[in-house]
Amino acid sequence: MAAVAAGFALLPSLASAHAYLIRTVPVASGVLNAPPPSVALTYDEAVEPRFAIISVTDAAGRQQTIGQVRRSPANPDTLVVPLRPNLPQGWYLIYWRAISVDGHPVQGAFTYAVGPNPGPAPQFPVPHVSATAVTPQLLIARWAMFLSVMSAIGLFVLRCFIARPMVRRVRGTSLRAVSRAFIVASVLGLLTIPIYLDLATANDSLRSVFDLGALVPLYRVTAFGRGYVDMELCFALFCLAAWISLWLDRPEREPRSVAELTAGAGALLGAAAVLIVPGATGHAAQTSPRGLSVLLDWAHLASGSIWIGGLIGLLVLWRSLPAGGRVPGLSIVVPRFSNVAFVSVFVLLATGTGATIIHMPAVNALWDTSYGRAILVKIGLLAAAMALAAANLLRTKPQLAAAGGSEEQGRPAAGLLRRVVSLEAILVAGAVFTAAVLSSLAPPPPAFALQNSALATVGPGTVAETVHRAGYQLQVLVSPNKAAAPDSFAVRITKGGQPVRGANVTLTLNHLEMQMPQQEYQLTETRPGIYARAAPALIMVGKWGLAFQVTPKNDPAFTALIVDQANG
Amino acid sequence: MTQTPTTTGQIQLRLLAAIIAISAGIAGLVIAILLIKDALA
Repeated sequence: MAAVAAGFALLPSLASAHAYLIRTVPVASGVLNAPPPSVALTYDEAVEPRFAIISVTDAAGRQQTIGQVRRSPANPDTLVVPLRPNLPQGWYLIYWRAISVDGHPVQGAFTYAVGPNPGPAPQFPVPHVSATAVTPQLLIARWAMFLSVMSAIGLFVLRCFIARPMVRRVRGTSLRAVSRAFIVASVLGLLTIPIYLDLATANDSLRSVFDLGALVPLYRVTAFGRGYVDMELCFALFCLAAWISLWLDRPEREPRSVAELTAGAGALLGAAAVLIVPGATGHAAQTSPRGLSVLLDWAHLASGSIWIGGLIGLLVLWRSLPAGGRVPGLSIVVPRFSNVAFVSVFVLLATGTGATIIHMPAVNALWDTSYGRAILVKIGLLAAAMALAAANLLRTKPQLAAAGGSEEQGRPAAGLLRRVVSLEAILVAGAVFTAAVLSSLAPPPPAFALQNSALATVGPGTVAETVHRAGYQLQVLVSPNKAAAPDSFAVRITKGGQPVRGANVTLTLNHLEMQMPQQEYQLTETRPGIYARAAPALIMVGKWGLAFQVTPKNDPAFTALIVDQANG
Repeated sequence: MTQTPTTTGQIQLRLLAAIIAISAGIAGLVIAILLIKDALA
């Protein structure tokens, strides 16, 4: 398994994080001489038209599309929607939403005009920019799915590999309660995976969760859906192998038979397979370097499963062991579990740190984005759980060992163990919830890192900011700095107090919080050293990266970047 | 608790079950590897 995973780690990394809009017809902010018959949006991947929305509205908000979004026969990556014939002159807003192959909705908007005299660009109603894949039901279903699948795998490992010697060494004890807990967790896992898939498909295709006739054919339409169908299949195969393994296992005999070993190996392979799926269908497979990301995700889930399932198993064991057998039983299982948990926690920490480094474009993305904040909450919960795990390792384990199997002497330690493990299990379950939140959010876009090279952060409201770059002084003016309004952009360039004439100045605009086509405008020198252009370029509210690329007549070119907050 | 198998039939049944389990595990792994191959293609 490690060899296979290491092999994938070496694979080249090519994919971008989410579906990215690479070309639009008509072009963003362009003025056409004749109304277009349709709108065509080309992405960097073949997004599913049945999950896509393309809305084209005029200044009064009236819908101008006639018909369904379809895939272009000429290019599978292009979505096309027909428009009403002979649209009158004026400005139009195109708002789109599509589902990436990793299951995340992406959206954006831009304007275009039908000329030759469209008039000034109006203030369009700005669509909501923070819509994500997260709804409370979806989040809870995702959490329940992860928790039950991870618990089932961890309970199986505890039952078959960690707690097994207890039955042989302590008379009158059995692992039936742990086996039953595993069966309950595995049945819950088998139920929650399809429930989550149904909820997610309904959410993405904007249908009712009960409209199964329409939803089931859509399950395998996206890579995300196919992944979860395969996860159900893998988990069912794991359950089959694990149930057989439990049926064959005879813990009262130390050596395992060939049949027991074979079935145990089958169940472990199945568990390893199940834990590959979330990474292969989620962020990990879409984040460079992809092979390493998938490997880290797999190791993270495997160590987390052993930890959470083991904790639940210890609690079940604590409750189920008979009086007189509890302390002797726990004094065998707890030290063994502590050693395994110690390694698991270390792997969890290392892989989580690695994944965070890969996903975060900049350190401040940790506190400046929802994705980063969810990581911080998860780290906090896991740190608290680790502190409790350390307490178990340093206090409870030696106390149970010192009791030497005596029920009387070991009772305080067993009581402490129950309290500490209960709290630890709650904290780890909380961390699994934050992981469900995390995997539902889009990681910050690579453009986020642009903010850190910005010379100034400005807005909202009219901008008049002076910055210095390469010996030049640039006074940037943006007015009125409102989204979807006809804004004017100007920059006054001076060197040694003298206006810089005859330079080539280009303004490039990137939205830093969502994906939109990059816009580029050539600024013209309206007065000596003043370069300006009016354009409805701030299409939506949010943070924009305004990059002024200046090529002076006699000096090398340079770029001055400012981050601008535009409001509606 | 599972009883110790005493007859050839019981041993054969256990071996058959073990073969089903290992086949299930390998099948799961094959599905997962194909999924990764698809995702990273």
